Amino acid sequence: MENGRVIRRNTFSIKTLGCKLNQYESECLRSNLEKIGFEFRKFYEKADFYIINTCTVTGKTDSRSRNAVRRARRKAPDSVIITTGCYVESNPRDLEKMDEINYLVGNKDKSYIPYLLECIRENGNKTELNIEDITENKPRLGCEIDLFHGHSRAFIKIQDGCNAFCSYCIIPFTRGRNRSVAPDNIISQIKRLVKNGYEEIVLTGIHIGRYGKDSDFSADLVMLLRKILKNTEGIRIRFSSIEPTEVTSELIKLVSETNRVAPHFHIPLQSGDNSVLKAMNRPYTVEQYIEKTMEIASYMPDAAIGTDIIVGFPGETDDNFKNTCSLIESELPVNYLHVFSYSDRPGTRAESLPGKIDPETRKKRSRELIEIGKTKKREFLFSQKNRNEIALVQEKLDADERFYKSITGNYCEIILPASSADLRGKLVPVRFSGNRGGLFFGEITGEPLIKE
Amino acid sequence: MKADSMNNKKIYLKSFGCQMNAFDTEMIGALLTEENNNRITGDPQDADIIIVNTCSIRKHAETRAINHLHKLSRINNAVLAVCGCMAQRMGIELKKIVPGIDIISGPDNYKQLVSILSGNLDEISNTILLERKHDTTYKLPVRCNEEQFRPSKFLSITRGCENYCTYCIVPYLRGDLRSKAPDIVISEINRMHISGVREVTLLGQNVMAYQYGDVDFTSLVELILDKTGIDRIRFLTTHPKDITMELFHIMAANSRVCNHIHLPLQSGSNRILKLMGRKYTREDYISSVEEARKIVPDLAITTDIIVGFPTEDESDFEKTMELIEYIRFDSAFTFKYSPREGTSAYRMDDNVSVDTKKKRLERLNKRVKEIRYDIFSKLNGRKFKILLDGRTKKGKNQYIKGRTTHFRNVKVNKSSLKEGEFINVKLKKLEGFTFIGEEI
Repeated sequence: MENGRVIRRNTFSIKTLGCKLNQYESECLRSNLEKIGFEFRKFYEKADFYIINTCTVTGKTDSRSRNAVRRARRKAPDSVIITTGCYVESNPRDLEKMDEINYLVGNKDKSYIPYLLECIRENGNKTELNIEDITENKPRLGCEIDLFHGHSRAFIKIQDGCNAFCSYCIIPFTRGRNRSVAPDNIISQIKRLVKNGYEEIVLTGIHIGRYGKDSDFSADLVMLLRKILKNTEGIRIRFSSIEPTEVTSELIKLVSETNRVAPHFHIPLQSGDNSVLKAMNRPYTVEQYIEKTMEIASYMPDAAIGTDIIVGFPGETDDNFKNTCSLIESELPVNYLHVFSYSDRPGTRAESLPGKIDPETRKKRSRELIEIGKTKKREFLFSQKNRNEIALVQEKLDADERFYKSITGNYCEIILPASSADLRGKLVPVRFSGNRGGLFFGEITGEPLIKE
Repeated sequence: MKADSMNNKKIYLKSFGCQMNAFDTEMIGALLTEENNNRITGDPQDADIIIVNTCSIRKHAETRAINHLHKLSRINNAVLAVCGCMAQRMGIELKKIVPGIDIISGPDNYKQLVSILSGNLDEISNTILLERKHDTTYKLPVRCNEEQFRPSKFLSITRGCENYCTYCIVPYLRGDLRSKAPDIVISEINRMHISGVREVTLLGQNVMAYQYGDVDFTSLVELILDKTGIDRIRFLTTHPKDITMELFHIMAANSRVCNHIHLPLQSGSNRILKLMGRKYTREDYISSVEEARKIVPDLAITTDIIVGFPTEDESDFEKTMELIEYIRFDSAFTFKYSPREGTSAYRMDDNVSVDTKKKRLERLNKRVKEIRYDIFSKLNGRKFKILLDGRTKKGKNQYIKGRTTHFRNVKVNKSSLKEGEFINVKLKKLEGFTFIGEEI
């Protein structure tokens, strides 16, 4: 009480770690909280509530999640800190030990967090509430978003959960089984974003190649893409990570025949050695992976093809690792890499495998592969010189508005000199022009694709 | 082309002292060459404008600057401008010592200085700019001088200092702490990056004191990581009393933040630290370093040490020697205490004899060097990434040199390499404190 008035705890901040799906879910939380009168604050600002949307995909993201909690507590000692996301599912005991945290909310109850904040706001101070009481008594909140703050493109959820159980992966334990969002809901969500000016929508999920396979609406990813293209105009669709076995010839053909789906395939390889792939419970061979990426490149020689690789999986020998390196360096039409150093995830099969690789070796392998990846990426960028592409204009880089950042369909980040009009968020035709100091530049060659 | 009084001016710049000064000097040069077809010259004889940016940190720094000014004042026809800390401290007195000076400008008056020098040079005579400005919203453009391209640049993020360490004149000359707005910092870094810069060193008397609204220094570093693509970030200087472990967590998580910190110790004796007004103890210092090294195991730490502060006795000095043994600094800037008029330590009796100061400094330097050598020699055979930032020549050999994330120098005998590139090297041997590396 101050001057006889109850001080309303009304400001919140969200820190999101990990995948695009988490980012989408944080955006839903923000949208629903703002609808009931809460005010957003940046994470470095003081707030009454901090929501830490955690990630547990590696040991590193666990530790980053814990750091975010400590950071929030130091910033605002009297705030209420709510921790949610996959780390809460994988290892709640770790987090229960942290005095800084007031509430742990599991993934299935994540969407109820706005109610939790509302209860705390209405009942004064940090009442010890029970999340179950809230989930039982309140309707599930809608999760459509109108904006995607801080991004020029919007990520949306088309699917959640995973049935694959790759031996190293904790996500099936934290996000449950496959669930697909109905095509009509996806289209309605996209239309809302398009109405607010978004010109690129990124379809995200945990296992989007399995889209529709779990549901009674008969659809798969290709059908969904066709339906989205039919029901929208001009905007560009990009899909996130997809498994090699699920990149069908039909999908490749569809992407090659339209300029409205970004020619960008992120296909996790994980290892370039068949024995490691088998131990990882990955349902393909190196040869199949090569064939698939070659097929993409034969239709679209300038497509972005990216991959994830785990180094230091239990039992990975120097020779196994060398196989991965030489595969990436030579024959494979992959042009960028995300490299992960293996870390044990509690409860996975790989955790109990023998032949754990020491941290030094993991680090060394990771560094080596990251370098190979950088070379690949650079070579790809150089190969694009003088090519024409379509780029989405992102934020401006300097106060004088002389330069914008942009992202092309084939996932190249290029710097564009600004014109007089504000082109942020617009799709524009560009030509790759050159590079300087590690940056690549382009020029705008025509009018924006979508007129006002 | 010959200069008239308005256009085609040739400017000679000379900077003494700290990196903040180096940044300011470059900024003044950039502002002056933005228009009127002015350009920078390396030859003072050829210049229409001579600008000397001075330092007051020690008596010696002022003496050097004054000697230099005497020489430069003999050059006819050039406008001689003196700026920086000594200009602020001495003001009009300076003109009595060096009568040829035309302009005296303190660190808060560079905008005005530039505007005067951009005008008609014939109209300039006896201009004194010493007004103290305490506004927090200053913005000065950074334009990269393409002719003098360097892949590594300084960027000041704060001005001034409010710590008032008892020996230090800087707060009196540079004024209160002011922090530059984060969006301006980001814009300036992006602009540097676009022009080819790969590494930026964020400068402040104490960067840890950066505060703009809710944005503190660690948040600023995170914003820079997020909103710019600059390849490497360094920062200078950090006051031990303000250091937070957050910073090291960011360092550990981002290879773009270099694994080096300059953490001025000044003394290893708690009694002396207290007299210096440093607001930390040796125990605080040790525990910060221990904690930081747990988070960033290969952290390189450099430092500043003053010997012969008033009343420092043998046992105080031994405590400093003990501490350098324990911490093992990558390198140390060491100084004999020099009383600065106007500071609170100036009122103390400067009672450590010149001879004792000299002996202590020699002993300290010797040990610092030995430790440095020990650290460095163990690194031979290791591999590092370096940013190539300059060339050197030794005999017939052309070398290109660069620095590791730890700020250690490596030179490579391969002339096809270009400044501004990153390469991986294997360290082969030490020459002085520079490694000879081989590209891998």
